[in-house]
Amino acid sequence: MQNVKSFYVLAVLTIAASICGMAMLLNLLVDPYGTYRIFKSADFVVAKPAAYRRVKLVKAYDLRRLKAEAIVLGTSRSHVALSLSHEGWSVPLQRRYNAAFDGATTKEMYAYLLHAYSIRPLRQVVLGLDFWQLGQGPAWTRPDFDPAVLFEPSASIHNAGVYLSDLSLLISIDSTKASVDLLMNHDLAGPKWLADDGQRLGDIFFRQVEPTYSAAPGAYFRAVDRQEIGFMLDDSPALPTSQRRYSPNISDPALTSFDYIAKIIHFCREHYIDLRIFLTPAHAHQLEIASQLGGWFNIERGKRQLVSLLSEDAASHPSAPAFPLWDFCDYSSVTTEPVPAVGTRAEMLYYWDSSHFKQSVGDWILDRLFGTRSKEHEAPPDFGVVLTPATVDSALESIRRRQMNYRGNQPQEVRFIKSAIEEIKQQRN
Amino acid sequence: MLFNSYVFIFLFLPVTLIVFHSLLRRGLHRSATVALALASLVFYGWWSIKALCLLLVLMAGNYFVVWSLLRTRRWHLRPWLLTTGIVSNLAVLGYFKYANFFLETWGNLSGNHVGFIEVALPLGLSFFTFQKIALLVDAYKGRVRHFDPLDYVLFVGFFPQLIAGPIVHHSEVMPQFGRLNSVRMIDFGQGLTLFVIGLSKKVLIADTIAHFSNPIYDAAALGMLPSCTDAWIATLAYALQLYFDFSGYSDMAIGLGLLFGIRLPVNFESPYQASNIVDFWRRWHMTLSRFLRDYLYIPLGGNQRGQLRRYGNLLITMLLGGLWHGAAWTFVVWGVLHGIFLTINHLWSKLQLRTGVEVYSSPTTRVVAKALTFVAVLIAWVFFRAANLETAGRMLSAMMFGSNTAIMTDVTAAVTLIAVLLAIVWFAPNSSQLAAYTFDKKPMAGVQGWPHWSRSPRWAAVCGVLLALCLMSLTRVTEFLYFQF
Repeated sequence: MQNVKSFYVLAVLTIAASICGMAMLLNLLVDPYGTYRIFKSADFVVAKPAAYRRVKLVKAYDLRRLKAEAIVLGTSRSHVALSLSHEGWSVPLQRRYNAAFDGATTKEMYAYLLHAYSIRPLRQVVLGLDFWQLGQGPAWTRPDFDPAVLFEPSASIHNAGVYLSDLSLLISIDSTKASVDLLMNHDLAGPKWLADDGQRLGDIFFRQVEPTYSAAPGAYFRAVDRQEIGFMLDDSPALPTSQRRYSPNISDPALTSFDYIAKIIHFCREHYIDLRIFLTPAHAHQLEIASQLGGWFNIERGKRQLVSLLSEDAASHPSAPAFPLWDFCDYSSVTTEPVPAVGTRAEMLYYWDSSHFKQSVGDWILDRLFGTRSKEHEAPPDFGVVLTPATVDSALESIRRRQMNYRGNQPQEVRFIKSAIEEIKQQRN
Repeated sequence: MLFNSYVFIFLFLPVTLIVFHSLLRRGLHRSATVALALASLVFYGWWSIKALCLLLVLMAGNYFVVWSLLRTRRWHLRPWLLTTGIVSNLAVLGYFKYANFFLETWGNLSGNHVGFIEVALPLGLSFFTFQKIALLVDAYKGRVRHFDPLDYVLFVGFFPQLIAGPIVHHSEVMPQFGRLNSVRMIDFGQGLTLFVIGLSKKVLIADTIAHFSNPIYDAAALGMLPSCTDAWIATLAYALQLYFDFSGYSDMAIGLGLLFGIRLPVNFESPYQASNIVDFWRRWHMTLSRFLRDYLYIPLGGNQRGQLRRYGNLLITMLLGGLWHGAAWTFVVWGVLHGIFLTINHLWSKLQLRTGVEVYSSPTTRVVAKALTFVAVLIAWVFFRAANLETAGRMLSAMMFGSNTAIMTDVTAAVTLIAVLLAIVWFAPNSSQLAAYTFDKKPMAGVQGWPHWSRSPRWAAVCGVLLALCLMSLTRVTEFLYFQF
């Protein structure tokens, strides 16, 4: 460069750096997502609305801070119902974390598993799978999933990029707006439904944050039914096929949602992690919706494939304990709990809505997975069955039988689901 | 690596600039050029090592063909060398970009669907394929005077323009690479300004306006007929998004070029101010228009073989130009539409010549002409944006007879933003005018009533604030629209 006046370039860079520096300082101090926790004061780490809109991000940072050795992977069902204080966990309480989040896809779960392991080797993982995740559709991620904030084992270049993502979060305009909002309206903070251990606290979330639930649990339940019908009718990532097909952004298009379950299993096996898998107990309404939309075959096929995968894994590692698979995706006395009438304020015993079960059910699941028993609160005997190559046929047969019983005993519920499906299909046409 | 990513702005660019300028200051000019070439390869390889390998193979293959064309004394071999070079480049482009399109089309026509090839389109393949074909043709015609291996590597791989243009001609940049010895501070300042303007256009404008376009087009792709208002908002928003996105990218490329002492050609000159379609193509993606004219339209015969042939050549050129943008029938229709518009434009000009009527003489008719041109371009953009022909048909139908289903929740915000941005693209000077940039270093007179770039504290303050806002808005890195082409 010629030795001429460089005032202009220096001025531009200095002004930009000063503004960014001020934003960074503000965000570091206000900490709108609760990611830095410089101040330990309870007042400053109270519920922050911005954090609740970016739960995936918060969980990525929580895992870094807590250095968990035992985690829950799963969707909102596990996020709501699985408690880290259950006695069955084999690691200390402060080293457990619920890394499940709403709508998690198997590819996202795998990424969070790698992230948690990169920070501290894991000892125990509980994996909650919804039946739609057993499908053979292409693996995908949701728009708010950001792999750039997640570490990967033995990927030093990628991991260096994670620190750049830290910087991006620190100077981002979103963070700055959230900080300013929080400073200007400190009372914006609502009920704290996200626990420090990552669990979404159903009692607070549904009763205090979701006004429609408190007003009419039965109506809320049916509204979620309708929402689920919409999701199942879509059953695909948002992009039209023609755009996805030619896009250079889809890496490994051949990998399916199920393939990522296999990756989770292989990773846990390779790294001596105690993995326990369960299929979530959605309410029978959800199973009926899937069945009415022609998805029952896929559910059974998915279960068989998972059993087969785990059995191959066990056979190739005879000296290690087999990974158990518990199936709660069934017509049990829990999942067939009657739904309250629309006009009442009566709550259900086991469910918040047709998708989300309560922590009491989550505790029963953990009882089954860990082999513990709660004396005063024991799980019903028909709740959950271990699927193995030896039991899978009889288990599926038994579920089909109970399905027929349910349809016979609850014809009005089945009629409601059928008419809701028709109504939504007509709206879409 | 994207220009609008932290890894580029905070790591790649500073390191490359420091190494490059340190070498230049020590008088190690060729070493600086080598460093720039290596940095360009790292830039490209960051996205995919496989794609970098392909780029290197293509680079080597084309170098061999050009070298042979320049050196061989067996004149009868030259046409074969040229044909081999062009066909090989097009075959690679065809495989990576068009194979699945042709398989799908064949399957639809024959009813025999053979599936798809799993292939990822290497970034910028369409752009650097064109540059190399131009070099091959010019080497064949004896127009290549400067051909140094290192300068050639930079001509193909110079990172500012590698993946989305401007499509440079070898005669524009290879001599500059050969002469690299110092960078004037005024060029550095101008480059920084253009980079910041381009980054702002991309990050602050294009990514914001996209929120008003994407949901409507996605809904239409899923079978929904939007309301008339939504359809117009979405299409106007897309036209603005595309312009600010792509011209922003070109500004960044030109700005980055200047930081290394290389001047790249201007790619956009206020295209939405065009008074007819011919004028539009002189202002929109100018380096592509120039390539299509010089290496497709003129070799086809141009306007030298009668009027009918001229219009046929125009249609073919634009059809292939459309297909170059993307492997889908929507792009073919977009290209054909522009071919038809250009034909109508030429017929209209001829009619004016015959009748002696000068339509553009009054301000009113000029405004009408500009409005008509903009609407024609807008209609063609519907095909360019839509996921498929059915979606395009649905959007066009919604623009005329929309449904009552409103998807857009914040119409006021959308209309306000669109109105402001339309005012900018119609009445404000473009980035090159604001930054006083010309490719040939000719001094540019400022646009009356508008600020003209200088190294003043006021410009430094504006650029500094804009740069800070951009850096703060990079939280979610999005891809440039033009990368898929």
